[in-house]
Amino acid sequence: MIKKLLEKEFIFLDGAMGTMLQAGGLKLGEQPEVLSITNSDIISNIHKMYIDAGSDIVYTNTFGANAHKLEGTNYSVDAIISASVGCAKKACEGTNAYTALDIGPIGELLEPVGALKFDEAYDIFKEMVVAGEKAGADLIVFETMTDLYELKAGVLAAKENTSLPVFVTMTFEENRRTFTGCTVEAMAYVMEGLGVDAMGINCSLGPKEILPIARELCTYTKIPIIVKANAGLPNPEDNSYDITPEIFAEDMRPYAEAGVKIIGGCCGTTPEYISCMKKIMNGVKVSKIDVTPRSVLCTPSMVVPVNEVRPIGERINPTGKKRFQQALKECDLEYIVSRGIEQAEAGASILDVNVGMPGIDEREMMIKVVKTLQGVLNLPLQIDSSDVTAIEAGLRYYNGKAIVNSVNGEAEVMEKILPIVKKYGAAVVGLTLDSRGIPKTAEERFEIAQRILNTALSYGIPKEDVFIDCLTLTVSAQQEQARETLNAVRKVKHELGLHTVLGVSNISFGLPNRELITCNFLVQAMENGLDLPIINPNQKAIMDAISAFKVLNGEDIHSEKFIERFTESSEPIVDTKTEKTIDIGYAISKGLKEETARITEELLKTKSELEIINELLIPTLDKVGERYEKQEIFLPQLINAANASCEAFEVIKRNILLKGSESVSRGKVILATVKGDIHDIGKNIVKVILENYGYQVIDLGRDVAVDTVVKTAIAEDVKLVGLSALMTTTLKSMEETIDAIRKSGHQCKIVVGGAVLTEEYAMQIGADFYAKDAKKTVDVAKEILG
Amino acid sequence: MDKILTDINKNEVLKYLGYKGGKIDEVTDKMISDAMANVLETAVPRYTYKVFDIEKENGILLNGTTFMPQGKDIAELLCSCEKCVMMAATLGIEFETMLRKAQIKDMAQAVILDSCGSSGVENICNNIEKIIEEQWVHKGWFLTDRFSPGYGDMPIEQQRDFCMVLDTAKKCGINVNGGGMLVPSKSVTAIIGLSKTEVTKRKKGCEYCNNFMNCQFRRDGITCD
Repeated sequence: MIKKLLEKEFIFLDGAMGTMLQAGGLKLGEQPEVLSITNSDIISNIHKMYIDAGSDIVYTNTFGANAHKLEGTNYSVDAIISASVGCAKKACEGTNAYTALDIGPIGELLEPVGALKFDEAYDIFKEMVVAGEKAGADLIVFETMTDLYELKAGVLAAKENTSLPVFVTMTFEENRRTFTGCTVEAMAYVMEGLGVDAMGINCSLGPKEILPIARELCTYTKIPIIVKANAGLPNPEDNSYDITPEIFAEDMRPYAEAGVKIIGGCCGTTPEYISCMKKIMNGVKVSKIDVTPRSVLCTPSMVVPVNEVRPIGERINPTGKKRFQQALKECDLEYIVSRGIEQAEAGASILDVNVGMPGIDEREMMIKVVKTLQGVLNLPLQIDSSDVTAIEAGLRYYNGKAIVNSVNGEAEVMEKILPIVKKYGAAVVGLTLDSRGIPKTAEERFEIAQRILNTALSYGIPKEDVFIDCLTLTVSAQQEQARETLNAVRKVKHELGLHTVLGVSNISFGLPNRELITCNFLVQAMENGLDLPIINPNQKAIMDAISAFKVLNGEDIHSEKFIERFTESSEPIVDTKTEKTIDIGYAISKGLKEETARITEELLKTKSELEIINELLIPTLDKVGERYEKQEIFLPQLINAANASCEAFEVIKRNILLKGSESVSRGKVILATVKGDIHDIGKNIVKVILENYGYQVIDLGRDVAVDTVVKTAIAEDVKLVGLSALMTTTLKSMEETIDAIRKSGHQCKIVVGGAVLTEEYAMQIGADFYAKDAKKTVDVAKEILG
Repeated sequence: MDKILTDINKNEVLKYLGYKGGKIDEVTDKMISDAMANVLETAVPRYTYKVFDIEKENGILLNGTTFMPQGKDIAELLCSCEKCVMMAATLGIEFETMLRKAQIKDMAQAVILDSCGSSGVENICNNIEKIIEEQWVHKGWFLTDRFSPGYGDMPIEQQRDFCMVLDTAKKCGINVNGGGMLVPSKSVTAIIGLSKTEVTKRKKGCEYCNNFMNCQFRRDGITCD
């Protein structure tokens, strides 16, 4: 059906449904989808009017026909969708028009901003697309989307559960971003990767305002482009639209030259707009726009083209890192994600994510880490694993275009991984080794690279998405191999025309002054064509070397970034007290993190870990807490002090791990923001303070199911559970959680807090303690756990 | 008015942070100034509003909608009003992302940002009110105070219908979750009455304050003035 339609010069879509219904008396606040059942003739008639006006495809009256929005209407998703598709098909009967199942946003935001899980969004869309196909829709259209992640869930639901073509359009503001910050470019690459049949822009703006955005989109992808513009801009007083059908049609004319093939109208447009537009486009040809293939990676709000050296940060990896391994064991996502933030700030362009370790469910951990990282950072990820299920999970839950690290020349490895790479539209790293190991010569490695490229192409993965790693060997052990690696990089880059990846730090293993060797090798490799070095961006010398290379290689125009990097930044505030006189109490109370860490290291030479904690850290924190209670200091100062002592605890933890002894914990506390509640800043304050008193906090996050709290309390044998709720509407979940803990028979104390709680109410719902702030929670913890 | 977020009020930020006087050390003071600048720079505020005629037969009905604001307080506020404005404003998702990152990196910075956010969204609401004033006062209309679902006896559960009528998801990116919470979190919905006769603006009490739901003062049983 799509093929036949695409043969036409233009595909005309319909105009607004809501505008037509409101003109017919629909009131704001009413669910328009219900009319497909209660007033099906009205709906069929509107479709008929659009078909008469020249629409090739009509959108069903199902924009909000999802389980979330239909809640409380007494109609099922299936009933509404089958009636709505019926209305459209009835109108299409005897014409050449097609029926598109129309799907709008769910109406609840996905995590991390909202609470809706990716899988829940997928299920909501799945219910709709399955019903739509069953009812006989010819294609599926997702429109007015603002969240790329939600759209990805929808496209996967459509592709995995139906055989229908999929069109997608998102809504952009004049700044060329959606409400969630998604760029046109990111949409183009992610949706092309997922294999949609057409994509584009709808709503929010009129044809004049959308035109430049559409022009931009047409330069990124060869997939047919859709534009459904509003009838101009709305008047904020009454939300009427400001252009006539004639002006609309005139404003749509330049879209042909921009290369847009599929056109229709959105809010404020009527059949007249469509017929005027069709008349004006009669005989007009759609221009073919040249699209240069590019290697890009992206998050929704940032696209990283591989057009210059892009360092990949390697620090999210447990290999040889005890502290990181402990974080994985304890599921300490904050520690793991902090490693990401650190590398982003040090200048990494991409982050490698490897969370594989014996005893860890790598798939589950990959999902958690990917979700948390993308919630706070704006860097593309490289999913690094040898476990196919972990790779697939990483790609599925990743919001953007990622790299898979890695495949190699072995046929069975490629057979397993490349289809996943293709399905999710990722890029892939190919290691130049196979079942026989790493070849000794550059030529043999080149051959493997060639083989990987050809196999990738056969799966439909474009050349631009294949990156080759020619493998670094240790120069102290196999000296001649350094040269072979460099030669292989050059051949792959220049003869195959592929981008290259290389983990460089391996080169210097076993030598003194490793950094010097590593930096020199890195520079040589970049000179030979390395674009994606995998490095530790926290090593200043390495980032300096990259920065200098970019100047000499003409990548850093006017040396701007180099100059910025090496120009002194403004002086940080220094404490006037001289260094010598600072003791740990002073450093903590003033929130001096680095000082606190330094002094702790000094102290460890003469005192045991527990002595430092009990004799110095805790009394200092108590003093700070008292001053807070007396209102001599206020919240930020209290937390600054806690953060500083956190540095002391980190030093102590590392010290203990080095000695291989048991970790110091004064006891475990569960913290959770209850089901339905997504405001968690209060809980997080409590967490910081508790951790700095040496308690191990099991942070279950926000919107936590009752069951999760109970199960964790039992499994971890936790004696103190802290619950937080911010809204009157979620106090009920708090009560249910307390109830469930009591019913489970698990012996523990429960402390509750949150803006709307009072001591009296806390007791009434069965809590043991009410804490009005973080300090009070610590008092409770001391009483219960000591 | 080009910019709708024009200022973050430092005193208000300090108030939200529980500041009760005393010396603010240099480090904290700089963190606050930096956070204020950061919010002004990073936030992408969005808003929408619409004017409705009020029908009063069995309760209050906004003409052309199915929306009936519930409770005695809102009825009292609108008693002399023939029209009202429904408005919604948000500091946007960009602010949320910044806040989420800060919560991992540095909780002190996060609480300061959070307070700046509260002050910021209050500023947006004040500016929208100014726009409405400019359009209506010279025509002889008077504006009442702002009133939101969840204040006084107006149920928070009305948030969902409120947002559906204004189509906030499409117009400014505000969604409502199951518990009636607005997402992004720094968002406000409110009704302002328009009256032909002068209305006495109340001295703004706690329940009319946008920080009503998470006010530290109220929790301590005192007020901020």
